[in-house]
Amino acid sequence: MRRLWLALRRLRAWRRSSDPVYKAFVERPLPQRGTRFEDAELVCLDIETTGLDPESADMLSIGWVLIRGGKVDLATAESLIVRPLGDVGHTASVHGLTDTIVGQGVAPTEAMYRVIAALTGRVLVVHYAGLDKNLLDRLCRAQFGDKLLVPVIDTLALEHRRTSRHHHLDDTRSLRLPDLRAHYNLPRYGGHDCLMDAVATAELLLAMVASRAPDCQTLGDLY
Amino acid sequence: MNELPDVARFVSGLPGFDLLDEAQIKTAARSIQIGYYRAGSVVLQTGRDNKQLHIVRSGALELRNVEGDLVTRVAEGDCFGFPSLMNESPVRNQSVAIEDSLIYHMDGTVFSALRRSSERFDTHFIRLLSDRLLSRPLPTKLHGAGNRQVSQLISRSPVTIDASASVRDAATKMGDQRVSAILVTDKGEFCGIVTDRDIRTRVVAVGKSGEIPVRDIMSTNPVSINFDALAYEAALVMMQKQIHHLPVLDHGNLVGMISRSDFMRIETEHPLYLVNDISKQSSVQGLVAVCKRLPGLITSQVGADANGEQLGKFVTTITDAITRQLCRIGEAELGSPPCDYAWVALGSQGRHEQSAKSDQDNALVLNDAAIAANDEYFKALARIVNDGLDACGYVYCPGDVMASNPKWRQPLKVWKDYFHQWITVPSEKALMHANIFFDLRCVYGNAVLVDELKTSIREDAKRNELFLALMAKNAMFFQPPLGFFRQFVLEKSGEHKNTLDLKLHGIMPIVEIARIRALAAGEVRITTRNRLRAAAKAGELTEADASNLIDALELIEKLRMEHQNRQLNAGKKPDNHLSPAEISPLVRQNLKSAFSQVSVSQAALLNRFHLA
Repeated sequence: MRRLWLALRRLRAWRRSSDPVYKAFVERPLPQRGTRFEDAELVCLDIETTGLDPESADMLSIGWVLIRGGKVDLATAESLIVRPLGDVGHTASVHGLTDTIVGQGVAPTEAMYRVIAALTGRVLVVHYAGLDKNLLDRLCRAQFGDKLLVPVIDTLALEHRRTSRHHHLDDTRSLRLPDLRAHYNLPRYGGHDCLMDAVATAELLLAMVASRAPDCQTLGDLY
Repeated sequence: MNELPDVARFVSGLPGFDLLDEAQIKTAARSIQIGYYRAGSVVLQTGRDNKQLHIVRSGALELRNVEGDLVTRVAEGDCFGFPSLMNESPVRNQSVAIEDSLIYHMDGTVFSALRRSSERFDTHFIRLLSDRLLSRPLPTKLHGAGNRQVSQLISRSPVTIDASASVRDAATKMGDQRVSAILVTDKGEFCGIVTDRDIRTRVVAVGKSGEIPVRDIMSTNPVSINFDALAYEAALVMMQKQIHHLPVLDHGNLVGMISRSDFMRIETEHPLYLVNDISKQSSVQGLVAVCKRLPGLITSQVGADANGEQLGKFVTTITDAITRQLCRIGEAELGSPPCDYAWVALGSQGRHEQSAKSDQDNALVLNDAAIAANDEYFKALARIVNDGLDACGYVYCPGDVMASNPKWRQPLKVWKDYFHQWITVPSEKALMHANIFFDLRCVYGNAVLVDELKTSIREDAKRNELFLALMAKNAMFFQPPLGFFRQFVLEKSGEHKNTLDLKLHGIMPIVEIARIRALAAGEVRITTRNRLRAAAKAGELTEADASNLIDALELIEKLRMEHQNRQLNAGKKPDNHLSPAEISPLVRQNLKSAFSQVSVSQAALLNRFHLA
């Protein structure tokens, strides 16, 4: 159902839009639900923002890396510093991005073009869609007239679904990215670097897929 | 941008990659594909092409050859797959994840480009490659010559003579065949051995005729070894029995003989060399000089993958040889002893379980015929041997448990009283002494004195459950850490913070469990492994417990051995303090299970004496 809905929305967006990059993005057929995980291309993405409210926060930096052939391909790793509309604010102490650094970044519209290009024909992977995906939706709507019409895998939601389905699992367990990674015996990373967080999310997804085998082999098992 | 800080940091810390500059590291990092493998899944399959260098980011893998033998285990920070990548040949060893593992697959063309651009990087991997090619599957026994079978050392068919033949015939045959010992048979049955030395000392020197039959001068019931024994076992037998020739049997039939020179031929840095050289020294200075070779010998044994038991035996055999030679030097200086005595090794030397770092624990048991005036002689002898051992690197016992202490230089009857007192009227001090003195072994002199003492100890101990119970309680004093990561045992003394004392918290608890269980079973065996096996046989322990404890001991000893070897190689004084940083996560995990086994056995010991 969701896929059908997404396809229709994309069709409508294609008709309405005049932007060639966005048109190419919505024109490309969605990956089949039956596509095997190893055959799919997924864009794992993370954003550093000025705040936690997707309706008001600005993007400070964005990084992504592809999973293809069932591996995280670091050659595809990309990150951008984004020039925000407001100032960096007090969160600078968290992510280390100061006004001076982000002042040298690209405009948010340029960043969206790059994100849209990377996502064309691919699946988006984020840890907690509530922030990153909603923020991208907002920026996308402002720029192209519709939200980011792309299939999403949310590693946090995926783990949450599993813990709530299995009542014996401890559902008070933290679902924060570093804690979930530790749960899957993945190494500890420094944090607060959007590209490393994107890589961290990608590795987490590989671990989750591997640990759910053989029940998890296609994209349809992950949406 | 596009920086991957955590990846770059990890890669730049890898051996070989630490020689590269920032730009090279960045290129290497960006060429990586990351894969996640559940425990049990195959990462590289034998026979396949390989175009990548594989690096363990987290987890652990086992590499096995086509025969299924374990080649190596790799953990965080280790590379694999480089032989096939560098030789452009199919994969030789199958690699299987034994833990959930995150693997970095680095692009092979980038790796090759790095090798071309940095000579030192290239050299590092070429060395790694040659190490791997030289290494065979991890053996359970010694590498190299020591791991050969005895049958491979035999260079000729056995030279034999009938027991009724004359000594002259035997000497002629030995000369013709150019052998220094001849095997004697009686109606085809192997029954004795005659050496050059026998003919010199038992015939020529005493003016006997060459016409007497060989039977009259041969050594009967000679020590022999089975053809499928390993060479190092033969070496140990020869060292312990102080013999130069060892007949080799196959199902009771003579198939040959090996001599010490057979070992010399195949291996230059062999303990036999050292024992041989030790026995030639007539001065303490000479012994000290010979002892300088001991660290090198230990290093070569560890490098040859000796296990803890083997290394303990090797080191102890050498200490025994030094002790014996010091006794001989003392006797040469002081003249013949006024009465029989036994030089007794205690503690780890007594148990054949010495490590690179050992102090001396010893005592003198004198014949009951000794009179007070004799003590002057033994006091001087003890001084020579104790000082000599210290000069050779076996530092004085901090608790003064040495023969130079008059308390530990007593006639047999006094020793019997000591033990009787310790066992029947236990005190804290008695228990402390018991721990050292129960591991007693005669190294030089009249072994009968020690045997007699042991018999009396065994009788006293077996009847005394209370004493054993107190020993069991005392054995709880040193406990292994419960967990390795969060509940690490730290010494609060300050000097060795963040390290684990492998001896106090790992080896000693096992040694004590073994000692008490063996005593309870009325066993006089002395090595920890033999005590555990004997206790299991007597029903004091289950077979499973005994073998788990032996495995745990093996692991802890191996870690200590490797730790001390690293220190020796770095020119440091060996100690027992292992830092967790020295060992891989996999080893930590194994160590943790070894510790939990020890804890379980300690609890079981308390139960056994109703102390829990």
